[in-house]
Amino acid sequence: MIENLRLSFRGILSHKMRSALTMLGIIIGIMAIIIIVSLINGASEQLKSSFIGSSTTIELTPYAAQSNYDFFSPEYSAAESGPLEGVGEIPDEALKMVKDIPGVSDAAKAYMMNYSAQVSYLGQSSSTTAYGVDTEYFKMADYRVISGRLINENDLKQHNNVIVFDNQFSNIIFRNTDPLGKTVQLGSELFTVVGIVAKPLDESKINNMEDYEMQMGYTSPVFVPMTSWNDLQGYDDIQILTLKISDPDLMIAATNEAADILDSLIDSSVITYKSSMLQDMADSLQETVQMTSLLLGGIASISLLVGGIGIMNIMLVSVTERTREIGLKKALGARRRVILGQFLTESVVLSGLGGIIGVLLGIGIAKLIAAFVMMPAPISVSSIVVSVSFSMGIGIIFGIVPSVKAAKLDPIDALRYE
Amino acid sequence: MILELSNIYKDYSAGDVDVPVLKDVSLSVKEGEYLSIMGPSGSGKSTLMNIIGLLDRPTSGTYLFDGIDVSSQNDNKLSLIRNKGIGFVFQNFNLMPRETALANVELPLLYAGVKRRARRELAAAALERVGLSERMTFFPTQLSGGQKQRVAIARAIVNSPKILLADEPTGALDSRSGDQVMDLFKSLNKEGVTIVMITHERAVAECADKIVVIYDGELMSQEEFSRKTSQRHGGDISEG
Repeated sequence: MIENLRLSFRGILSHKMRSALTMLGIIIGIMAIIIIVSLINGASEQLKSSFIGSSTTIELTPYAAQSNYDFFSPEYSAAESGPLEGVGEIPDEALKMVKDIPGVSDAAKAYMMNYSAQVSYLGQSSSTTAYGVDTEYFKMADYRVISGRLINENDLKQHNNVIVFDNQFSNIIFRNTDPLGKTVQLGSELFTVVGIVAKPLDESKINNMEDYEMQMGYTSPVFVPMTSWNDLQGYDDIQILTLKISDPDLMIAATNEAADILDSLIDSSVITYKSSMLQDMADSLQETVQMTSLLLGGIASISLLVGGIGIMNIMLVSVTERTREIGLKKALGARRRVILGQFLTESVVLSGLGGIIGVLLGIGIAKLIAAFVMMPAPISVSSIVVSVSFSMGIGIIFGIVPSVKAAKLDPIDALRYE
Repeated sequence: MILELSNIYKDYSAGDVDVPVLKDVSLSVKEGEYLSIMGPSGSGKSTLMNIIGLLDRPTSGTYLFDGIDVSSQNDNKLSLIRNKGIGFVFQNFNLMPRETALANVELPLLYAGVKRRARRELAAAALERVGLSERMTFFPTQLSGGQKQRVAIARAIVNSPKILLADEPTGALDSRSGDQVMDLFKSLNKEGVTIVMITHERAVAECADKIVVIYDGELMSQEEFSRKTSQRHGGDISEG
């Protein structure tokens, strides 16, 4: 066995160019598979962490249950059309119960107007999501003050028309001017800008702001005191609950449990609480990702097949070239399986080496791509083991024909061969 | 008897016609004998060599190698008998070009399943026996023709075979190297090694104790051969 390995390595090294070209098919195939697997894993990890990140907040909003709900036209939700008939304000006991659900680190009631809030400044207006919040909200949703201040108790008490901007939205509205102290119009009321906030972005997980907004349902919103909301919108039942999820793995269960608690307070045959469908989107994206990986994996396997045929071809050439050597070895007493073993080992070493090189190149390229597009590219040990053993398997399968041919050579013919 | 061939026939089929190559060949070789088989090219001597060397099977006839009827043995058994019983010396040396002299000599021991260290020792001893202990780590390309043939002889004797089977051992050598090889054969034979040598050169054949001639597929003594050829062409076989 050691002898066979030694012979194989010397055989391969004595024809470096040929061996490299022969291994190329396997190298490319394995490399492609490693890159695909690690990037797909990275993408789904990123999906998971951005949809269900450690600081994710989820809004539970009542929807009219009979409506044919569609994510892109949420006209029946309380976030869009104001409070729904038959849904009262979320009671404090329910809020407390929700806070106790495993995986929920915090919960707060908030008013919310999805996407449709119009903010105007100097005759220019933009739509965004507006929240009516209390003083606790910013902490829960992980907002940090960039300049100015947050909404305080005084604002709530006095129904002050103050507004806090998310940094991104502030940049859209105010460009390079200092927004603090400026007056903007929200709905029919005028508000004074008192603070700019931002969420800390985890750069490694997010490609750009649009992705971030898409994935987080985060549309660089504005915030006003909860009490001023009543003046603005003319209602005071807070029907929307915001959850802060501490454990990503428990997100779905926790959200469902919270929705059940809220549903138990209302006639849930007509209206139900739903999260903002993040999970559905995550699932369908995940599915797409898996389909893509299967497809790409299939294409990469064709390369492995071609690589295997290449190995068979070159092994057949090698057997013909070494006919004399085989004849001599047989004359000296080498049995069939010795010859078989020698060529099979060479084929397996060739393909296994190709597999290892492919794995190394694949890891390198996957990491490079990952660094370039700022996403993780985890390399699983199992994918390495599977691809190296798979390539060796190819070596065995495509090495059998040439090896048997070598083993069956007649020593006289072989010795006579020039 | 080490070799006992009786009534060996060998035909090669060329299309529909069977061409007889060996006709009723009988030959016995005793332990310690040094025999030359002479014959011109096309006489069937290579075929006879292949049959004696268990590389080919006769069409009919019996062949006892060291008392074993080899016609009933399968390929793997024949490999084993070749490995332990026969040392081959070829005209063109047939050394593995990328192996050192020592590794070349080790090869039969490898197939015999001898452990690495014992292999080393036996191979080194065989190389010493042929006077090449200083060239053990040389590759065939670094050796002269005569040295290569001596490596091949070391390889042939390393397994202490029953017979040394040499096919034109001096055919590719200059006369000085050829003489050295013949001297080596002579001294190996004195030590008890049985040698069967096939050649077409009379001078080489005469190094042996006994000479038989193969002509047109038939084995005969030199006297018989002279009688036959003087009747037919009167030629000299060494020209063949």
